Amino acid sequence: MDSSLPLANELAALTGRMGGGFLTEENASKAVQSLAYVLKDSVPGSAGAGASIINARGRRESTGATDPIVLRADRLQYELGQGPCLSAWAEQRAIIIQDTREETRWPLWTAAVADLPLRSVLSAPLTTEGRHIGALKVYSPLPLAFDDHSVFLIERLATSAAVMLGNVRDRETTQRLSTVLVDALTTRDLISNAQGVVMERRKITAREALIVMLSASRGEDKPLHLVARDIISGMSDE
Amino acid sequence: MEAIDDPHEQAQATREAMEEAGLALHAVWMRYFSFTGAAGEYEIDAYLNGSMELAAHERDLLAHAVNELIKELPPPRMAPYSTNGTKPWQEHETSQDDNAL
Repeated sequence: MDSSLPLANELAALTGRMGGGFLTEENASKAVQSLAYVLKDSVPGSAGAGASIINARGRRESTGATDPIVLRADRLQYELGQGPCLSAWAEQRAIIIQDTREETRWPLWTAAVADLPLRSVLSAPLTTEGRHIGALKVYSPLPLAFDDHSVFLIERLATSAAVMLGNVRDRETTQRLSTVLVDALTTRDLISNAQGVVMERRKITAREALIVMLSASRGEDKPLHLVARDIISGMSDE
Repeated sequence: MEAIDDPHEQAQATREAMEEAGLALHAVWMRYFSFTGAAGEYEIDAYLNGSMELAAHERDLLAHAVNELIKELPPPRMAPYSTNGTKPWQEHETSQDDNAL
């Protein structure tokens, strides 16, 4: 596990020197994939690694994935609007799922990946010069696959990956990643989490939970994100 | 803010509300996206122009996004009064004093 660290440091130094950045989107994707391989190899028996970014149309997509399972697990997060990588991205901190079968924070996603050979997840945000670009992640088929060392490594690699993705020319993505979009992502995460709470409390579907929140927002003339915040903080019975 | 059953009427009324308030599609889509809306910006554009259907709850999320943005707009400008020889705040203060006595 430790043997991968010098390579990670070397890559980090290399990307640091590329500061000005003349990467094409394709090169950046390949470079991020090489970091993803370092990440994957650092965790014994891991299923794969990669990055999630947002494209010009505001759609989230995967880049630099080492294995098809990464794409599948990622796509489920984008489709369901919840998951560890989206939370790492929105909350700007590393997220660990020790065991998907025990995890309760992303019920839709953990249910959706139940059939995949996937038990633990580690994800870290990609941030460069204050811009929130996306998230790096590694999936493992074993529970409890990650430790403090893995967190240190992924954060180190995320710095490099963010520099590379942030320096891509002709990529509308990063230009559009304004504070507005970051706020939208944060709100989306908040509302999605509140939705989960309402589903759990009332034993209803995701769609029904959103309708409950929407009618609370209309009825009380309160913005939807404040309704969500009150649900999360336990100040609302919705 | 009344309820509408017909999806096309809802799309048209939503678009008209956006136009009247001068809301840009991008701003509306962004708010809708933050509400966990699943459709992309192009799809929302197509829905508003009547060339694509959206599920009822997506239509309502979009309507809610438009309504929140409208509520956040500054109130329309009011017409100013003349000073009429006095300063309005002086008169206001005097009348308050009268009430207090």
